[in-house]
This record gives sequence, C-alpha cells and structure tokens, in this order.
Amino acid sequence: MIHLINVTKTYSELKALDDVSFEIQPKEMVFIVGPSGAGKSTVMRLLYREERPTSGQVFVSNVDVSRLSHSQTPILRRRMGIVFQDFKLLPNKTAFENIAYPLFAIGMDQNEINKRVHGALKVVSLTNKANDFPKNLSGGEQQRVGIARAIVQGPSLLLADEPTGNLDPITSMEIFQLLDRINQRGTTVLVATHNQQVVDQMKKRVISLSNGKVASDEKIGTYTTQV
Amino acid sequence: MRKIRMTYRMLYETFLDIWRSGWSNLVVISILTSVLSIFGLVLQVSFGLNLIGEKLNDQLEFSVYLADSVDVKNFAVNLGKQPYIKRVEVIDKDVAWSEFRKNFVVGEDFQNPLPNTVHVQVARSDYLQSTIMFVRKMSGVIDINYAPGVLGFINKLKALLQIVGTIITVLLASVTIVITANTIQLVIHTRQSEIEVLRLMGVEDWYIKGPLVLQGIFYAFLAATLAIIPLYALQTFLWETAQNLIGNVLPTGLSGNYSSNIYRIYYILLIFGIVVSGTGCFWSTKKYLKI
Repeated sequence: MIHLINVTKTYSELKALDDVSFEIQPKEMVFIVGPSGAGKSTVMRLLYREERPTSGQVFVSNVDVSRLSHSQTPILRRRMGIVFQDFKLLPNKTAFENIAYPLFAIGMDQNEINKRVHGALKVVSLTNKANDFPKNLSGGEQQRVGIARAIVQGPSLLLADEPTGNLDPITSMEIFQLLDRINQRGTTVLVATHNQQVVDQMKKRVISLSNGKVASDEKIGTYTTQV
Repeated sequence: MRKIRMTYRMLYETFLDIWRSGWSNLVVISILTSVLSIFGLVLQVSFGLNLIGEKLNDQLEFSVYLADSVDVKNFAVNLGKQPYIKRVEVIDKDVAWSEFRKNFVVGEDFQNPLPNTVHVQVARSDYLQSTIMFVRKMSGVIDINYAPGVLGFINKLKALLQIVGTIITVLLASVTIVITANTIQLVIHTRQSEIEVLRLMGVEDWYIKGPLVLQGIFYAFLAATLAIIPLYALQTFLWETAQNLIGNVLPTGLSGNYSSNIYRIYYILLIFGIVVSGTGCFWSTKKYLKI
C-alpha cells in the first residue's frame, strides 16, 4: 500500500527526512512516532503529495506520488482520507455539510451524498449531531466529524496527522479506537502521533523516527520502548 | 451529468462569494462602470464621427484638373486601380463646355477654357489626404480642388478624443485591476479554510478557481450593462435633438447605423470589462491562491 524508498527531504539547510525507507501492507494500522521535528508530519505530507521528496521514491498503491503532476494530485487525494490535528472543519457549515462538502465539490449526486454522509456519521457515532455546527460540538466530536469527512469517499488509505494533539487523554483513546474500528473494516491506517499512552495500549506496528531517520520499526511496538 | 452538477454548484459557490464580498462588490462595480462609461463614450463619439464622415460623401471627393496633353481615360484607369479609391469619373472638357454653354450665353468664337477633369472619391475619410498628395505628384495634374474643412476638423477631433480617452481609460482600467485583485484577495482570504479542505480532499483546481474567475465575469457583465444605459440615453437624446434641429440636412441612413452602434459598443464594453476584471482576478489568484 505504502512504500518509501530512500526518501530524503531537505528544507533549505534542514534535513527533515534522511534516507527513510519502510513499507506498509494493505489493511495494516501503523503508528509513526517521534518527538517534535522528527519528521512525522513530513512523511504524511509526502504521502498526500503536499510535498515532493528531495530524493528517493514515495509509492502509494504502486503509484510514485512524487512524480504525479499537479493535475493528477486530486485523483490521488480522493483515494485517501486525511485527518488533521486542527480538524479543519468549516465553522459556517453543520457536521453534515462539512462531511458532504468534498462530495458536493466533486459533483456527486445528492442522494448518493446523503447516503454516504449518513453512513459516515453512523461509523463515527454522530448521527444525532448531524445538524450541529462545529462550535456546538466538543473537541472529540469535532475530530470524529473530521474522520467522517476523511472516510466518506471510501478511501483505502487513511492518514491521520496528530489526530489527538488537541484532545484530552480519554477522548484521544476514543479517537484511536475509532481509527482501529475503521482499520478493522479494511482500511489501511497510518497515524502520526506522539501520544505515548495510547500507542502503548494499542499494540500495533510502530515506526519510530528520530532526527529524520527510522530509529526502529517493530510489528507490535510501544512508544516507550521506541523513543 | 456530473459536469453539469459541478457547473451548477460552481455557480452557487460564485453567488456565495459575491454575497460574502459585500461592499467590496459595490466599489469594484462602480469603478468598473465608470471606466466602461468613459471608454464607451469615447467609442460612441468616435463611431459617430466616423459615421458622419462616411455619410458626407461629397467631402470624400476631390476634382483633378489635367493638362490637355494627358490622356484622360488612361489617367482615370490608372487611378481607379488604387485600392483606396472608390470611384473615378471622367468629365471631358468638351462635354463640360457644351453643358456650360447650354446654361450660359457664350460667343461662338470663344475658346473652351475648361481643362479635362477627373472626379475622384476615396473609400474612407482617412485616405483623403494621402490620396490627394499621391495624385498631386502624378504628371499632367494642373490643380486639385477639394473641401477639407469639415472632414479635417472631424479627423482632428477624433484623434484628440482618442488620445485623451485612451489615457483616461488606461488609468482607470489600472485602478480597476488593482481593486478587483484586492477584492478577489479578500475572497481568497475569507475562503482560505474552505480552499484548503477542498484541495486536500481531492477537488479539482478548476472548481476551486472557477468561482473567482466567474466573479470577475459577473463584475464585467454588470458594469457593462450599467454603463450602456447612460450611453444609450445620451445617444437617444442627441439623435432626437439633432432630428429636431437639423433633421432636414442630416445624411440619410444615419438612424439605422446609430442603433447598430450601441450593440457594437455594448459587446466591446463587455469584452473590455472581462479583460480588465479578468486581469485583476488572474493576478490575485496567481499571487494569493496556493493550490
């Protein structure tokens, strides 16, 4: 599903990633951990082609995304879901409208949009909050709306960049369990986080980055032993 | 079907953007309307002067008097081959003398003093001066007679008007481009989060940029329509006044040409408006919209 081969990313003088290689199989759930500045978000940005590597190759579903043209990028992004630390919800739209917005903009039929959005709301257990605006939702609920928006197009890959960075520990656990449920439904999930407690409890594969390099990669790892 | 839905939804987004722009719309539309009104006025007067010039056919004619040694028919044929000459008519000196004698009593022994004459009509008023200069240099030409008065004045007025009008239009158009660009920048800033969500969720560029471009076209359409109203009213007023005052001496066929001119002016204003506001939109999206 994902394959990074000798990827280096340099910003001016700063090396964010240094010869990073790893592979993630379909339907896996993987955590990328590391301290701030370790290169976690850079990996994510390379995967959804917000950035191009300075050298090396980044494959998603056998496509070298670093070679994708600007006009081909939307096609790649429609095949993956992205969850952000700051949720990126539009304040003037309800939960339903936020989830429906990307579908609306790609020209999907309204009946299909309704069906998909209700389905996504059901997955994140927010059917009763469909008509609420973000300001009336808790942080955890807002992130669940963000996750619903990310999965509404039925992606085979879900990227979550620090999804619990703005949430308390209990809510964070709920969010990770939700991501785990989505993974169990067959979606590959890659989570960049520095939430130690949750990573330790999830017992999933953990790739640890340190100073832009892969420090360790364990099938069932913990944050504590990695960093 | 999907493209139709997306186009409809893009129009909806455009409407929302215009709504969000609030008072900025008014500023852009008023300035663009002023620019187009001035530009339209220049066009209108310029077209009007052209029309009058073209209708004053006799002003486009001049007479060439030739020496007896010149073969007048050959001269006329050669002249008629020039592309900017519309008509050449030969007046033979004997025919002219005979006509003259029909109207005036002249003694039998009086010698014919008239020269062979060629009446020349040029296709457009712009060609008159250069043609006269060209003909004057031809051999056997004794003299040329023409009435440059009204036409010369019209041409000078038209040139002056075009220079002044162009300077004002360019200045105001530049201001409009800057203001349109600022308005679009404001829209981009307001929609920043939406644009980011759309592009990260895989929405195509044209759907994101489309509403901003359509907003520019909307400004142009509205401003051109608003600008044509006073121009139409002015044209109607001037035409009716001219009919009342000098209707009997106005060249025939002016009315129809005047009506078609207003449509021509509207189309030109619309295109000019789209170019001006489109430049503003393009500049702004290029500079501020990062997709």
